[in-house]
Amino acid sequence: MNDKTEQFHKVLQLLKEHGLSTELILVGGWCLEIYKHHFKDNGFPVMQTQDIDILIRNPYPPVRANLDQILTENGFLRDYSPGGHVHYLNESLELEFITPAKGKGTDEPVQVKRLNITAQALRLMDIIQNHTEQFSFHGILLAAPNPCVFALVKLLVSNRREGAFQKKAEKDRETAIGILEYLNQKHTEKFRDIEIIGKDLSAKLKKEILSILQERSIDTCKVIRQFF
Amino acid sequence: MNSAIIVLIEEKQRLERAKKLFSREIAKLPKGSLQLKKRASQYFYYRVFRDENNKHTTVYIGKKDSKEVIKTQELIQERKELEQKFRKVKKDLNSITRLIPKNER
Repeated sequence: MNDKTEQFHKVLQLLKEHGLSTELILVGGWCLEIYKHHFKDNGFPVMQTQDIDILIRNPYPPVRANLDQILTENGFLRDYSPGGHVHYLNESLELEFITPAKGKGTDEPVQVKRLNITAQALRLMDIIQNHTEQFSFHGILLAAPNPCVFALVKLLVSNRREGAFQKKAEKDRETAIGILEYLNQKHTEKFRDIEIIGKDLSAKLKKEILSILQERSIDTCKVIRQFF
Repeated sequence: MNSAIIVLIEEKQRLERAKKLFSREIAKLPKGSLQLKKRASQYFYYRVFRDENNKHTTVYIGKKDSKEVIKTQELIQERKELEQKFRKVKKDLNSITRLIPKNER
């Protein structure tokens, strides 16, 4: 493990110690390291990232913990974005919490009192929380999205990036398509999960996914169209 | 833009935020170090540091083993640990900036 992966592993260890590693869902770039480890394949497409994004299910998990205290006592510094969202940074990593946006959604930080943390409400996260699996990463059992749902949601997120975040949209698409092509070629059984996930997606979202894939990866688009 | 460059830019932005944050937290903690001095057969601790005008300054903290001394020692230790991390952040920031093409920095 390199320095960053070791630091990431320490965060997972902290979550595990407080009974949270399988209650919270790891989302974002570090999932790629988890998948790479899971498939035991260095060929798995990984785009290195330092942000650890953690999804808090809604309804919230039954576990009570003081996450703010746990993190600050373990070397993370609390930082506030201009929108009032809380991030935790140390010398190597950045950690933030998100939760599925409900109803019309809100830009305001959401207080999760039982975990003593504030989270950012984001759309599409409900799709992820409905298709989560458990993975083992260097001895720690954790919850992360099914890789297919991870890729599909990344595609949808890329379409919603605005302003300064538009540059990230290209990276999102490249990552998502990389995963889908990899699964289609090397793990066809897993790739078929898209059929189940598709049942949870509205016709509009499916159309949006196919439209992005049509431009970027016609072969993958053809296969996914059959599943949808 | 190449996705690898986007990753580097994101990391640079994170390190810039971390640099600001570490610097802010370090400023909240006491500067300098503690010095033990013997006065009339008793031992006392003083904090020795350079003030904002770079003037050598000595501030009385308390008797050896007093609560004030223990607390100050802890805070100074915390500052030293933060400074070490701050140096790593600055080093990483310099390295990553060099990897980003000048027109993208």
